[in-house]
Amino acid sequence: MDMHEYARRAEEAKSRLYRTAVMVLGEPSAAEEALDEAVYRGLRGCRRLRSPEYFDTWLTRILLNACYDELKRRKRVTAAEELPETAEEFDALPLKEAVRGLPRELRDVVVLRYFSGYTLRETAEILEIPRGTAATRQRRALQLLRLELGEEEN
Amino acid sequence: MDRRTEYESLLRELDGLEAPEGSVRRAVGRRRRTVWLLRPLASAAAVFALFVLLVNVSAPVAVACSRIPGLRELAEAVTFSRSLGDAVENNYVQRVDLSQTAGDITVTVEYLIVDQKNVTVFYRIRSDRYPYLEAEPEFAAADGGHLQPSAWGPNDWGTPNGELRSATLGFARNDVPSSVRMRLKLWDAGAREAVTEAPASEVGAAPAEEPWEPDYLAQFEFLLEFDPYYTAQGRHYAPDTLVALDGQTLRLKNVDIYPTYLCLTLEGEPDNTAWLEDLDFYLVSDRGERFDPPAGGIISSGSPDTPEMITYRADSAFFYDAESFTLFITGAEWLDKTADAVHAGLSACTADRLPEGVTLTETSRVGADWRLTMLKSQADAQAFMKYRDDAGQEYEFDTWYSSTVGPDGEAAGEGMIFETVWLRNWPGDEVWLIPRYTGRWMADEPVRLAIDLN
Repeated sequence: MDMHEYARRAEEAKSRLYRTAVMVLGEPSAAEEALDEAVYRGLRGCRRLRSPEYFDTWLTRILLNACYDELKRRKRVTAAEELPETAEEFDALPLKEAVRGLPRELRDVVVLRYFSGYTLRETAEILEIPRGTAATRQRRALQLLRLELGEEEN
Repeated sequence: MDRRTEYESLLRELDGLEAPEGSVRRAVGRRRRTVWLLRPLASAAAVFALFVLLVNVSAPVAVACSRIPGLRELAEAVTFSRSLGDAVENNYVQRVDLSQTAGDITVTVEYLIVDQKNVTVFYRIRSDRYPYLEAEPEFAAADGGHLQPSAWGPNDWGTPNGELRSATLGFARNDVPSSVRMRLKLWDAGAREAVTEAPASEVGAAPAEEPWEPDYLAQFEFLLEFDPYYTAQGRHYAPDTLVALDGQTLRLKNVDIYPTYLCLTLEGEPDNTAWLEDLDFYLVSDRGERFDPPAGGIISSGSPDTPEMITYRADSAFFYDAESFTLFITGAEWLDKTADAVHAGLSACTADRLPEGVTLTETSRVGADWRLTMLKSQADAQAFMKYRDDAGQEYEFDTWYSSTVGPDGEAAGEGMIFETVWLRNWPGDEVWLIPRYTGRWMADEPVRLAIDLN
């Protein structure tokens, strides 16, 4: 993919990427940093993207990595948060914080599926996991959040 | 509120979020800076000048600028450099009026800040058709031929059309000639929105592939003729004083104060066991003003006869009435005089006796070239500037990239940076890297040296 095509597609994708980053990181300023980093990393690698149909899942994967790098960076300068472990502890948190309190593998699935609007197939592609694994993680995440949403493929 | 209602409310909140503008433009600008690193270094290689790119970041404009209403915009354009800011405040500016139009694009060159060693050119780009244009400056001799060894680079990225931009050309040993040619190659950065701020500063970035070349829309060429009053400016002092640090002795031979920078010339004594390769320092005047190494441009240059780096630049004290300085030396990089080249196995990604704090993290065959990436402290400059083959033939690296992100997108970590170099047309599977330094020294307490200018 050439740079101009990349710029066009990244511009189209940025709203969805940004809301994904906001859900993972919580703070808009951190999400903006991660978005910038992801768009930059994508630009560096876009010439190696041979199948443009995978653009969205590819760039979202880059974004998630950038989000977790940003999270690591921020954790170095702030005290580590105590994460909830039981459904009761999740209950006590507002939904946005409860999602961020999920273990990474569950959080990624629930953010991509229910807040960024990816299908189960796309979510599995982004996370490079089998679709069955994505479905299991999705179910477990919804249980912990006590959130009753459709689990079917859409 | 139950979870379902909370979920719907959160979705509405997310729907109302506006994604920040400019991510793509900032990425393009940042990517572009990786290409810039090549050019000044390539042109500077002959003098072993270390050139750091300036990045024009927003900063409050000095209140004093309001005293010179005509130069206020120029003052805003030089906030990245204390020396240039002082020059503008003291009306040390050569005004020019050069304009060219090609198609829908007009470029005007409006101001020069020039002294014996440095030229900063201020220009403006206007276009109704292209909302966001980037410019790549190049410099040549007045007759179009090669300049004396020099280094140059742009001072800003992401500047909106219509606003002042600048580029700096610096000479290490030679003086600024009476005139030079500046070529500006323009390309469409493709941003959709107006740019309101410069991208954040960074050292550069390591590309995983060859430097990317944009499709240039137009090229402009200006002959810049310098007023001899400005190119003659500079004051020379010869303290010829010794200073001992880390078991070595250095002689401070000269202090040169030009309007746009201050230059220390230091040479190691003959019985030193190591060559000086880099110096961390600052100066404080007798009036208490502090002068640090500049944020960009040439920061040091080498000896023509030895591997030693002998000149070190700081912000200029030209417009201050200092009668003496105290030089505070806080660290240094050394190259052992007996240091051997470092053997590296390219397929196996192995290297023996790398300089202190340097790790070879990746080697890749890219076409006919090999790409080598090393992880090292951000405080250290290039680990290697030359390499040789098994027959002893030496070559110079023509490209360096520094990045906080590695070839696979991994983070370098706090205070660290990835440095990438290329072995051009390298058929073999091994190379001998000639280290630029072997060790680093940091002072527990700064070493002080008094410099009397009288």
